[in-house]
Amino acid sequence: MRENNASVLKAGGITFRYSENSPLILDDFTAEFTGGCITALTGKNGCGKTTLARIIMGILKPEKGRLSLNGEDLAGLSLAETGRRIGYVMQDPGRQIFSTSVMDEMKYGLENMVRAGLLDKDDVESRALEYLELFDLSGKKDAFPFALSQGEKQRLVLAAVTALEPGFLMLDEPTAALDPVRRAALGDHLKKVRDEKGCGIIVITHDRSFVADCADREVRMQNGGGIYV
Amino acid sequence: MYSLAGLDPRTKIVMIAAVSTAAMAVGNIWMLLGLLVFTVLIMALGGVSPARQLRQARGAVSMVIFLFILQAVFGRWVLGGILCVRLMIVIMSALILMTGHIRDYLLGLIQMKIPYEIAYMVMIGLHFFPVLREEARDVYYSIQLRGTEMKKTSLHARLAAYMKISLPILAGAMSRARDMSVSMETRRFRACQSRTYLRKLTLTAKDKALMAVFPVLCAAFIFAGSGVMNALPADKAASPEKMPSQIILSWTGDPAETQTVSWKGDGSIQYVKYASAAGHEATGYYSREKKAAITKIQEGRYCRYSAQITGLRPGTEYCYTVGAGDRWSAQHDFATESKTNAAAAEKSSGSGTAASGGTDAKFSFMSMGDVQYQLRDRDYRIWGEQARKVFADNKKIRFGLMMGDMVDKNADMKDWNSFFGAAGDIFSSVPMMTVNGNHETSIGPYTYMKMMDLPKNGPQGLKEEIYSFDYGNCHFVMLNSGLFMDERREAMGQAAWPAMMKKADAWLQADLKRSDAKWKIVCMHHPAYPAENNDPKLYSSIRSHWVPIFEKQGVDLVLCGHQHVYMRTKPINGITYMMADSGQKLSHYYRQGDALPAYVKKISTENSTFEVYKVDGNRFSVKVCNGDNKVIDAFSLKK
Amino acid sequence: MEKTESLNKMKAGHRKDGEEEDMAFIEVRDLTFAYDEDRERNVIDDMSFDIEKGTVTALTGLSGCGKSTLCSIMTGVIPAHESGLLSGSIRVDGEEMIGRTMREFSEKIGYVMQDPDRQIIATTVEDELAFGPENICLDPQEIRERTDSIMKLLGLEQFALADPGRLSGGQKQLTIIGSVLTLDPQILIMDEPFSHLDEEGRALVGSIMQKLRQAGKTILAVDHDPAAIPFADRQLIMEHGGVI
Repeated sequence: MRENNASVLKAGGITFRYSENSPLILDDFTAEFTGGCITALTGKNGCGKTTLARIIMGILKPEKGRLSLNGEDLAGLSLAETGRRIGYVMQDPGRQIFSTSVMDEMKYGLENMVRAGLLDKDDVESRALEYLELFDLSGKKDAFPFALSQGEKQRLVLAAVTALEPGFLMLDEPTAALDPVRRAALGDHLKKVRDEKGCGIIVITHDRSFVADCADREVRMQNGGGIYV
Repeated sequence: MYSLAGLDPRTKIVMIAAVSTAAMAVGNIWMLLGLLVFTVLIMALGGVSPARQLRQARGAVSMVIFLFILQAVFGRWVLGGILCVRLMIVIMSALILMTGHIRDYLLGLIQMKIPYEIAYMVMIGLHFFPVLREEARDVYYSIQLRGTEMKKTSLHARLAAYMKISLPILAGAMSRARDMSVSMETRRFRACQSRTYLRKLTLTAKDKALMAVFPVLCAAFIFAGSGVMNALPADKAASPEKMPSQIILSWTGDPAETQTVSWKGDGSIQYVKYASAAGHEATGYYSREKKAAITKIQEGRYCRYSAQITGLRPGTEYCYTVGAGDRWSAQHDFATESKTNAAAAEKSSGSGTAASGGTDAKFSFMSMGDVQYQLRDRDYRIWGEQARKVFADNKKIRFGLMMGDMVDKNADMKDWNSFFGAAGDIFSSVPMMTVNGNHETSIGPYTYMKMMDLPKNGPQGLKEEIYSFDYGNCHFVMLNSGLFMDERREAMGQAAWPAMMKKADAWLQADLKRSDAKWKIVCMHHPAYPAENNDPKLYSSIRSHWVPIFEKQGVDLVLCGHQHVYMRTKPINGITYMMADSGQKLSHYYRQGDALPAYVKKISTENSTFEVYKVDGNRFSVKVCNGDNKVIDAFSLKK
Repeated sequence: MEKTESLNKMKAGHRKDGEEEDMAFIEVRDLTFAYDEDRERNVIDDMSFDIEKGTVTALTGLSGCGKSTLCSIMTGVIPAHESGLLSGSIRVDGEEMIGRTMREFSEKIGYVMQDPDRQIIATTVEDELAFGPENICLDPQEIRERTDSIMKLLGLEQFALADPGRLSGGQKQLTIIGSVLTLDPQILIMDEPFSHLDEEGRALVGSIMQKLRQAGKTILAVDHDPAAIPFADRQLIMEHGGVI
């Protein structure tokens, strides 16, 4: 396990409920996720893992608490800015594909970065190819994304968000639809990203074997709060 | 009393359909508000708490306000209000639906013989709407996380982004649809032509009662709100003679805020009903009415009604109808003097301010000379046609001036009937301000004064024979030149006549002096400067009594008729004198080639001429058209 | 009443005396299929296997091996909704099924798909269960009996009027299984029934599958995890379109 001490995603005292009369989903949740490390976020279905992911990504706003990445407060950032810092792969990757070819999908996020002045126009093509290679999708470069299998779609979204070179990645139940072979392959890909790019990776899962296989750390969610395991 | 939740869904569907239909059909805002209250009450009695209703109403507020503003921007306040109340009723009545479960509505629709495929389609759609919405939201967040700014970007960029997110949403929807259809088919949907149902809805007595009574109650609102109660004129019932006719407008007060309507009626009590054009369009109602005063002429053989409407808004279009009971005239319209014109007019009436008449007045009017005919019906008809043509060709003529001799025999009702009959088309929408000619006069113009309703601001004893009024930056003084006729002098005698003239002259002096109007115009029947001097005594009397006053008090234009020609003088001491004729009677005063006085600038024996005046602040232009609407003279006055 | 009782009767073995000994309840022989888009590649390649009556068969294999395609063929979805080249034979209780319509397939075979959220139509559990019987025009009394008995079998009685969309993953899946069972199919084909379930849900569905076996149903459950169905009578492993 290689820890990148400079990169830390901190969640401090996060409290959240959907509306005034609904129960507390998160109650003073506090946890730290480090770069260069795969952290599994576990817990029963419905205990708030996805909700926490959305709060971290800035989609939901917590009642109380603070989120910071390397000291920078995440609360004030726009979704675009957050997406550059944390890559998010949802449970249904089909909701994250907007293009008619795999290559176009890779380039889409990168072109947004060019527009924001964070990437050179000439680097777009090479970056896209690099990450397609990393996730074994080079062969499918021109495919129509919606014709891919569920696993391939997931890899595409993973490649597309990782290509923006965020400090962290967040995956929500990535193993649900995968067979053992694919699951192992995903584990390998994540480890490669962790090692080669120094990313911090948070995997929301209830798959114990996956946790055993890939996770460096585990944060278990229980009663709205988190415990390190 | 009863519970909405406990009712059969079909009953609720009927209730909502009845309320919504009523909401759309009722055009009267008071009835609509009543319907809204009725709906709220029905729901409250049926168990939908006021708090719940309030929440529903709150949710609708932004939509309602938007709708109202959309109409208010065009000045259609009442229409805006109506649309908003309608929307509120429909939104509130949706709460009736919410007291039931979707499964009941599905069954209800099916038992109402809606094909089950459609009912299922609706239900599945409703079912999936929140799912698709959630998917769409995830897509929307994802595209932003990928770096697409949706907040501070151009419309073009945002549209491009929306195009992109449509792809995953469509793909997701199609995939769902496919799975759903396979799932239904493997569970044998449509295996048979028809299908049976686990449950069956039955109508209770309460349901049946409500389904029968409720639509009737809603229909009552439609009936009451459509104005059927306030019966529209039933032309067929009354014979033509009984219908009000010969409707003529005039002013007896401020043209900005009043309108006087007079007409011929059958002797019963009659009214004028009126409303602003906008209000009438929205509600179908005439919201106000005024009782008319009757003047019986010739022992009631001819009844003339007159009503003065006051309290009107300047610069507004109104519509009106006259009559009573089941005998109402068709709708007519008029417009009050606009604010800018009125402000100019106010200044000119000398009500306190010493400033000169406003330069911002802008309007148009027309004048006509003797209409008096050769052959009555033919000639009045011709006059009517010609006048209409001129009126149609010249926009924004606000009123017409007549120089007298509208009839041939002052007390012959046939003349008046024909004249008014021909005039009604134009002068039921713009006022006619007149002076009497010698043909309206025996000693005094008695019948004329009974027929016309004119301002009573003239000198004591000469009311309506002499008066003045203002419009825009013009001051009009209307004089009875018949005062100088022999008949009058002889009838009054050597003492009374001069005394009367003294009063008249003093009034004229004071009235003209008081006026600050930019333009001062005098109308009378006989000329001060004739085309032919056939009655030197009368014309010189005018010149000695009145012309000096005109000159001293800054009159710009003097209009007259009498000699059945068109004649315009050169400015005489600053005043232009213009004579006109609008009828078919041939002139026996002046013939082509006769010697003309030196002051004549332009003369024409054209049988009928119509003068159209355009006033625009400092500019005063006159266009003289003949009966074929060709311009035969044009001039302007300069200040 | 008779039909309802039959659901709970233990069924004896499938072999009829005097018939060929080898005839299994479901016989698949030389099944071959290629999608129209890629005629070269046989997704199902010369597949043959038997399934005995009243058993639970687990069919496992990695993604792409053709498991889902097989489910589609065995329920008639292929060729009804997707076209391609299909050959071979599938016999159910002696009857040839290849070439028949989905309607005919659905008379014998019930299909439970992967994601319950994509199958739920109704707004209450009992309506969902009643959906099938309503479609075949059964008498309302009988629909009520079937619905009640299946709800009892699956332990869903307390949820009769609940909105299936709001239940837990396992309960949703049971609702869908129930809605297939009320049609009283002899065979249930379940495509990855556990994939959207957590441990609790898996245990629940697993125990119901065993209960159904006891009641005489024949179940073919497809999953990519061999360990997911430990109580299976038989495990078929698929690879590249065939059974190994």
